[in-house]
Amino acid sequence: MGKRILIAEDEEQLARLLEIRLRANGYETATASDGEDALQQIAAQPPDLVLLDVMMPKADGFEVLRSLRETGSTVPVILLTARSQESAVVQGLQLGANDYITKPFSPVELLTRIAKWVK
Amino acid sequence: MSEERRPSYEEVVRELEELKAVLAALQSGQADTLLGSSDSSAVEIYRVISEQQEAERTELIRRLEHLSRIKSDFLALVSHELRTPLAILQEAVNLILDGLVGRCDEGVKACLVMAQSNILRLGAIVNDLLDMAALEAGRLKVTKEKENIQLLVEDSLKTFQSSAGEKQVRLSFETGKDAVYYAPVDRNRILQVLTNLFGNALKFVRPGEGIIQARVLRENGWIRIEIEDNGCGIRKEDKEKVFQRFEQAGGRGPAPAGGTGLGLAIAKEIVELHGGRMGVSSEYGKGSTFFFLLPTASRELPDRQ
Ligand SMILES: Nc1ncnc2c1ncn2[C@@H]1O[C@H](COP(=O)(O)OP(=O)(O)O)[C@@H](O)[C@H]1O
Ligand SMILES: [Mg+2]
Repeated sequence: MGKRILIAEDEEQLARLLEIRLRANGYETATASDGEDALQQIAAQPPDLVLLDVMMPKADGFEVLRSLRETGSTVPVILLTARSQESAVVQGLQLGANDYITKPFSPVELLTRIAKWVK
Repeated sequence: MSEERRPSYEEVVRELEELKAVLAALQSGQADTLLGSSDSSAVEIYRVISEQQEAERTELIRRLEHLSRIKSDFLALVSHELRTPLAILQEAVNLILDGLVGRCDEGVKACLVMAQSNILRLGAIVNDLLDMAALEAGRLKVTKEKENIQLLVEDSLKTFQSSAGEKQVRLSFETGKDAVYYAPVDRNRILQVLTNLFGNALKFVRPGEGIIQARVLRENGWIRIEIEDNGCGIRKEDKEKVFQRFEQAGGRGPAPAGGTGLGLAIAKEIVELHGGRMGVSSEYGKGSTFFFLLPTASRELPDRQ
């Protein structure tokens, strides 16, 4: 059975494109359009990995991450950031993110990083 | 060819700084020394303002600082907003080119490859603008770790091998064989500096006869990185200018140069954030040697053995 990836990204079009890419590479996907939605979905059905946008409405990526780690979840999280959010990367890693990728990203880089954390 | 002189970005920034200095002097009661020192427009402004109330002056300073912060934040926000559509564009085009959303014929592919390369080009400009904004806001931080500078330069050079090959430009690398040159640097940021210098060198040499030589040398507690090319060179009067924001030299290479004129300004600031410095020596028409110096990790090491 394919591994499941939750794409938490408020830009709906980007989320859709990511789904196409990941499905073409044998992953199952789900999407969440804001932080609260992401947390609910993770609680209801824990995915094998979360692609987490830092800037999102309701709860941002950091809040999602903090809440996940506080409740003992060890689901691998890869942050999606813009390069202007460099300090955000440091903060994210400190909060327990496993990796990060900057937008715009190269498909090869995205898939390599995902493969590294989905076991 | 007489055209009205537009102030450079540097001048705008300098004027802002000048204004700030006058206002700060006003507030700390040191304005008299400023008054005697020059007759610039800033002093004129002082004359007007000095008649106003203290509270008003304080308010002015606050507004001025607020404005310049807005100036930087505005740029950062705009640039950030540029990244999401860029990411969507890039991924959409990549999905088609990778054949993940159906077949397309060669003509369509050729057009998409053009779109793809221009998305990358736009992305590079956005990167420069973002970096500039971060530098201005004092938000660009370097995280230093001990790195082998020789390897770093070689790594960077390798990424230019194919584009140099296409242009029939020769690349070479020299360094002292005796020792390994370490320095505490932010790897990605120094790679960015190198990419910029190699990119420029490649841009300004003539296809078929270009030679680009990189050197890593040791110099009294510093590591010196040099990138020499036999391209169009830089006029004496342009040597300072090329390191300023949004400025390009009058003498262009054989091909339309393009670019924003931000690359070297950013590179220089990154080097300075490392406690180093950057410069260029050049003979117009013959070539240029851009160099930068980085302080080494352990200054207690003897400079020569
Ligand atoms: N290796 C070089 N040879 C000749 N001119 C150069 C070289 N590198 C930089 N320059 C000059 O300096 C200018 C500024 O360079 P840079 O800041 O990197 O901006 P850009 O590459 O976007 O023009 C260039 O436009 C060019 O005029
Ligand atoms: Mg350049």
